[in-house]
Amino acid sequence: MGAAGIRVQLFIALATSIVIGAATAGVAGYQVFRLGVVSAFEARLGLVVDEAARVLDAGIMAGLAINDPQLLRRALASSSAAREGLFDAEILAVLDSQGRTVSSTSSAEIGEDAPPAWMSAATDNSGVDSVDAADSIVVVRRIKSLFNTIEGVVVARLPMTVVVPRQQALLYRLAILGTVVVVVLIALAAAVVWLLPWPVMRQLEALRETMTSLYHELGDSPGLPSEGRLPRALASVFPPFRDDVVRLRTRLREEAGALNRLDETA
Amino acid sequence: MAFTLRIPLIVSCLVGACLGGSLVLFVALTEADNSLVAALEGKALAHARSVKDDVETALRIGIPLEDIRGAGIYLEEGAQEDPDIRFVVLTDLNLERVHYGGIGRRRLDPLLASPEFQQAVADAGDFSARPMGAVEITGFSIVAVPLMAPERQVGYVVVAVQAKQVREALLIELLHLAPSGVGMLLLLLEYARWTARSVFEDPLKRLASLMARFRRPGRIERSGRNDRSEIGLALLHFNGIVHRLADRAERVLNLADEVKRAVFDRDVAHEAGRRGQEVQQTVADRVLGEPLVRADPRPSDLEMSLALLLAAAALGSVAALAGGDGRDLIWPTVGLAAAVGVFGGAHSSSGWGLVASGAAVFAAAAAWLSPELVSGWLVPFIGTSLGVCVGAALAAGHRYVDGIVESPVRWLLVRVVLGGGSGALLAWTIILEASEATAPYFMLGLIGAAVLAANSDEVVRRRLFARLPARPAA
Repeated sequence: MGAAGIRVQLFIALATSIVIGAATAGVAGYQVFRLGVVSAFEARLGLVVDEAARVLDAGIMAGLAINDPQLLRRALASSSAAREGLFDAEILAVLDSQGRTVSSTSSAEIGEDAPPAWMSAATDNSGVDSVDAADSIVVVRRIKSLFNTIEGVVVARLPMTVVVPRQQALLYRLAILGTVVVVVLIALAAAVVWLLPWPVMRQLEALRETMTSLYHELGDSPGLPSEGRLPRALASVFPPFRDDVVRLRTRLREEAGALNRLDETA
Repeated sequence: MAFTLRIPLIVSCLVGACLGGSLVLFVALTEADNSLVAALEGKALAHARSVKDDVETALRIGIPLEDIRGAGIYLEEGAQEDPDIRFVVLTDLNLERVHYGGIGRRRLDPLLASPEFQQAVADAGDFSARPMGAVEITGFSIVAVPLMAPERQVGYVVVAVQAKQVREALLIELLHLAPSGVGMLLLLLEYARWTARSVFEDPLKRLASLMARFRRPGRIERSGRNDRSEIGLALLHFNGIVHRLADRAERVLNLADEVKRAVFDRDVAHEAGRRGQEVQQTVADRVLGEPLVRADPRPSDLEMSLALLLAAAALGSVAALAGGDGRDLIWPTVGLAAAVGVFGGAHSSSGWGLVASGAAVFAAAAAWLSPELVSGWLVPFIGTSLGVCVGAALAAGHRYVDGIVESPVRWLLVRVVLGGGSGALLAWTIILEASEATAPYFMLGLIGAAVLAANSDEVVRRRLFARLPARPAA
């Protein structure tokens, strides 16, 4: 961890924090947008379903069957205004009480059985409900008779292939803009680390000078001791340590001197 | 010492993360806002066309616009059914209100009379070329479509949505994700603490400890952990100082021995021998011979990896067990007790405890991703594995820091709060978003980061896998 100088470590810590913060926010923002897009399209499909369901409700109340061709034609036609602007990709279908498709804007589906989830998703109070589906946004509404029996279901769905490009476009824009933000902030972090006078740097500089001086004092070349502003953790232990080292050095010099004198006088 | 580096670094890291996050979030929400407002305006237009169809049915059979009975109730119902629709108005050709639903007249009339709206309608002409684009006035996005009786236009359908609703909805959705943001900030707090401890506080404490022990009797210990940082070089200089003292002492001893052998005067020889003996006992015995070099264990060696492992365990436990009943808690309890027993009592290194902890999380994540591996025992297996993870991590942590921190229990508690708390908050968001399937990936990411943190330096790895106990001399 400490292989590099402290400024590099501080910069790494700051840069990592910026990247993690930006990435977390980016994921959160994209998730919010993704859900918002799905909600917005669900609301649009809800309009479509409402329009068709209004006509079907009136027809059922008037005694027509859910698979009455004229009723079905009018129901699909009534929702055309609501379907405008939905990329022409939405599919509106009417199911009977058994889940069989009796009418649809996609003629290939007529006569086919719909997924059971669509039938069971419509709420009991005839409100519009959405269905969790991986490949499309699905909104359903149950059609009830006067006697509260289920006559059928109106289903509107939009393939995710329409929605996904919008989400991906945001993702790319977010990635680019987010990268720019991160790069600018990391540059700012570098300026903060290398240009601002962090108190710890002065203390470490003093420590370096002091230890280097003491080391050189013990060598054969003279050095000037300098303490400067040492880190607080060393404030109480360094002076006695320095004194002990200097005392030992002095003692060894004196012993060497005394031995030399003994040698000379002998 | 905390105010020298730890607190400024924590504050800087949190400010940096919040600043980066805020800017990116602002960009994301602005983009989302623009896209969703456009979608909302499309919805307003669709609603306007739907109302137009219904009203024109009445106009076609000859009912004048102002005489359509129940129009107000019909428009009000339409506005009430959809919270995004703020008002729906039928106006005459001069954009004077005829029937309305939604917000009150006092707020509505100034909007209809506003110059921007009047100009936009005038610019749209007969609307034959293209629909009128939405006009934004005091936060409302307003669209209009022409109302046609047979052969002539009689007025407009005006519908408004409010972007404020979109922004409020986005912010509410964001609140669901807020716990994960707080969780990430807790992890960043621990990361900043760990950085300050590992690059500054712990090495400095080691240097202070070596200096304080210098004047005590016994052999002088040298540092076995000297990296190229500023304090690492200071420790290297300390070793150098001791080495130079040893060198001087050896020279004095050699000189004493030489003088003792060379002189003929027995008193002089005796004096030389006595001096040499004194230097031997008071100085040389402390610094000469095989150097006493020790790579000290430091709490920062496993602080970050422990927090990340606990975060992974907490995330997995909360995400996996939150929906179950209380009986599922027996599995992590069993796993924790077993791991504490194995790794707390045995004379193994803390490194192996961390390895076991990481392997347990990996096993839990693997079982989650491939439930067929544990066929029907998924929750017990995940619960037990995560209990083993926590137990092994806590036992390894306690054994490592026992004797080198004032209170190992308090030290572990801080790791549990920061690491476990962040994992639990991340899990809470995952549950709120119904994304439990992503939990194993987060767990794997966290143990990957824990492995990186535990291998940040070769000496850290060697220290973690050194056999315990290895306590500093009193």
